[in-house]
Amino acid sequence: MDKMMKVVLCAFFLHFVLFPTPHDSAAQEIKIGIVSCLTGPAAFYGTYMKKGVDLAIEEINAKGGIKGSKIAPIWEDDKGTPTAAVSAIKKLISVDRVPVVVGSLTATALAMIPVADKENTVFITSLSTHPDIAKMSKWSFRNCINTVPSAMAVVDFAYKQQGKRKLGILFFQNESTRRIAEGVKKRFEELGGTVVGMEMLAEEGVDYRSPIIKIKNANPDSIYIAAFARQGGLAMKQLVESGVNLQFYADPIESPVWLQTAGSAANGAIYGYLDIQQSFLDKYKSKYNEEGEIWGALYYDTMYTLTIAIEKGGYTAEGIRKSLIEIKDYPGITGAITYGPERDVIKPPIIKMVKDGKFMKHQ
Amino acid sequence: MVLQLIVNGVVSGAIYALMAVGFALIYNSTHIFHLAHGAVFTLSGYTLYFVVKGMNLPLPVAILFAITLSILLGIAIEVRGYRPLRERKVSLAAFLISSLGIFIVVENGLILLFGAIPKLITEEPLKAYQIGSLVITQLHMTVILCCLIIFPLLHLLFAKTRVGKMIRALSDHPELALIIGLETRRLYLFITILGAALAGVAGIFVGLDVGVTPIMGWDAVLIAAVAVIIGSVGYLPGAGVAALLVGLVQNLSVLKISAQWQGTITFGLLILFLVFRPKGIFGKMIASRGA
Repeated sequence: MDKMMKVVLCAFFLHFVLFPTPHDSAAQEIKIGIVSCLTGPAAFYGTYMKKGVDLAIEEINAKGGIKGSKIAPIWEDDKGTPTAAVSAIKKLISVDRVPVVVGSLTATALAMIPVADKENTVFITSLSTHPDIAKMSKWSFRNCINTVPSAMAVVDFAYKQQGKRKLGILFFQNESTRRIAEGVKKRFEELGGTVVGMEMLAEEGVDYRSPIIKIKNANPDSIYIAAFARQGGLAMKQLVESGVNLQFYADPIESPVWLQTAGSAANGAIYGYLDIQQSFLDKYKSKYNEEGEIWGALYYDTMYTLTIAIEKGGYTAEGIRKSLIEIKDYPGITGAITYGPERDVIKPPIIKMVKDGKFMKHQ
Repeated sequence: MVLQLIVNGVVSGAIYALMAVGFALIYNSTHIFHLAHGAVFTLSGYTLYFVVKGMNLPLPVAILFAITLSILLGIAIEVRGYRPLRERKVSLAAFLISSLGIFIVVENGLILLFGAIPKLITEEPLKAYQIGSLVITQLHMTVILCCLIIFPLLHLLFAKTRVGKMIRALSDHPELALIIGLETRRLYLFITILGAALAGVAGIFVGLDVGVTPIMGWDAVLIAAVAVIIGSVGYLPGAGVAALLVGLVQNLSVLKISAQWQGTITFGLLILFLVFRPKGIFGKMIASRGA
């Protein structure tokens, strides 16, 4: 009898596994899985992302959603750690059965893409600047430019326009920023300049004076900082405090946290990135009562392109994938968006700078 | 460059020393691995941030607030966290769990209140002075000056005053101290207040220098613990000297090793000591003192 019960129970549960309840297609919510660092040390990026995504979804739903169905985001917090990200994407795919997952940072994206690849699910991020993101799977898309080309533009500008010949490089201990630093070194040397020193900013560090002194001692005529907001801002502030008053170049600098951390030390810093349309900045300001920034803006565009893809290709992974590839010159607020068969957005970077505590085009 | 590295090493060493001596004070007399020391340190930094940035009050008021709150948290930890356990005579592991619990509660409480985003108290680059090729910020001079006042005072307290001697007696032999009629409860409270005040001062300096994050306490308390072990457990000035040594080694190592290894060096130093001199720098001295 006992055995009988077990068999019945097993059959009962197996039924759900083998024959899951089908989705009701009419008037359904369009579920989109989103995995981001909502808490943890990188939470500020997650916050930017959420503000951009929320703003876009609010607008799209107010206009009637996708063919009458409202978009319902399912947020999962990965705390910035790859392990949590992998469980989050697995849950989204197997439990919520979403055909598309939006991701965030490089570290978590690198862990999630293989899962998305195996499960045939569309993955898209606008926060990961690692060069390989879109190359990793035919399901992986990216709507933010890889920082390497924008860094190259900055290096060319430094060498050709500003006549810099001896560059000191500080880079943050991370795969993505290390790649930028290496790219910068290679390009600067190819142009004919000398990289006088290259030092790393440790992940958990707050006091970067030792690498700074080492760089200072190598006597550069300008400094390139490849780091994320907090470490980069701290390094910049401590550079000035250590008496290094040179031209700073930095990537990816464009975040209010960098400016808050560096204070006036950031003024004059030059970098390459995308422009943001004023209309978005106004909307952002009226909704959140704070200045808009690039990452929120990129996710805002990402949500709009996803909406177009779902509308055109249908709410299936293959449909979304195909339609995303077909999108051509969608007029986003961060420039025209074309993912193309490489699934990596192509937008030319412009030279920008920090002036009086604001990000603007370099004049 | 070497001179600059030495100066920077002394500054970070001095801040480590404030933490380490506070930690040692509590560890030596109670044998509690006082992780909550990091919580006091973090709370002090955040209080400073809140009073300066949130309430727009002048820095001296904020410093007063930060130290007061640190001491209050220290007292709470002793009275609510440790004393009940001590009176029930539970094992030291229970104290460690209690301490870790307090640490986690404070850390997460601060995340809840202020978010995980690091906060800066001084947004502008600190004022710096140039002497030859040497650059030193005003704050770093203050750190060194403060330590030059605090540590000799502490030395006087333990060498000359009655309460200092009682604390040393308590550290050397708690049961005997009880037998000869020392009021251990009060002494423990006094020790906690002193330790918390020191952590509070360290928190203020770090907050002013590089800003505050909810997770800043962990590294600070680990370095303090390393310094206590290197400086010979049971010998208070040892912790201070070892902390200074850690600061100097961390900074000077840059000459030969890339700066990314600074964190590793702290623990590398600990392992070296554990292998070659397990009783720490002053181990022999303590042994000969017979304490």
